[in-house]
Amino acid sequence: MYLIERLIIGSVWLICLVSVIFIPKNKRREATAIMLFTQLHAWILGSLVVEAGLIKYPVRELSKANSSSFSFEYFVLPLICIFFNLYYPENKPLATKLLYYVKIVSAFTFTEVIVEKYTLVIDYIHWNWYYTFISMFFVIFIVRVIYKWFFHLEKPLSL
Amino acid sequence: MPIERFVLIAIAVLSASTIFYIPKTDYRKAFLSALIFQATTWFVSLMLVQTDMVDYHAREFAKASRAVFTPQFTLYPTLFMWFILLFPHNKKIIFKVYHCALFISLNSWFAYFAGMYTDISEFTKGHNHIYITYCLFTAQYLLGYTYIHWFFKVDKSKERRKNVPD
Repeated sequence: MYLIERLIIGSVWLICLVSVIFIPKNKRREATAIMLFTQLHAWILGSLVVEAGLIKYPVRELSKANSSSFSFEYFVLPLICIFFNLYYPENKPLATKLLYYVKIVSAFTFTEVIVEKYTLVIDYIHWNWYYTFISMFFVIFIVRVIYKWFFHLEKPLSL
Repeated sequence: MPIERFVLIAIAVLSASTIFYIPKTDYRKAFLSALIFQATTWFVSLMLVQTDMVDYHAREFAKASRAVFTPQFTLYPTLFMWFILLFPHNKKIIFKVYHCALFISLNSWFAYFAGMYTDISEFTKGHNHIYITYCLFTAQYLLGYTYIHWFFKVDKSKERRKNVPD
């Protein structure tokens, strides 16, 4: 039952675990901090959207304890933010930085829309693809602001 | 006002009010300490609910999660943050043991009494033992302390390398 959904969730965990290997050894410390910065937001926002009845996760892990997506909040989004920050084009022009944001957020939004349309991993109730796009953009930006502040980088509030 | 709501609001306010006592130089350490404990306590509480060891009745996000939010998000991370900030690094081992015992006990007894005397949480049959709470919090404190120690040790060694004259 729900074979495709279980396969997707299992694959996501596998991909995430394998991707950890690609974090450079000298960046592991930074990566753990980014992971924690992201979890803070993911936990609150994830709970809020489910509580408000905007999104439903019909097939999920820890289904008895949690109605939001544990994998996404605890693992997927933090890993996206880790790679986003570690490979950020810091010394490039503003347009390049903006394009980097749009590329990452669009790729995620597109994948989520496909998964929503064809599986029961996620179900939009009062939600749209552009809410995902805007909220992801916002979360990734906030995490980057905290990251820059925490590691004493220049102009934490800039893109 | 039901006692549960009072307790949850009180611990949130108390936890938030202690933030102003954090020395400016320790902001980053405090922030990261709270975050690591938040992450572990969130995971542990979900596991406890999933395995039917604990039921949380007074929940803030009743639809989104069967775990309680406020203690995991405010009180426990704040206590751990102060545990890290006030840790007696340069004192004798007995002071360190006392420090650990004090903070782990504060956490554990709060969780235990909340389960015994309020509807915030309820230990399901056979699991209402203080030693289970002690074991879980000790493990979380150990993990959190090890992480913070590792994180800031690397930071210090980097600084030392920077200060070495060429």
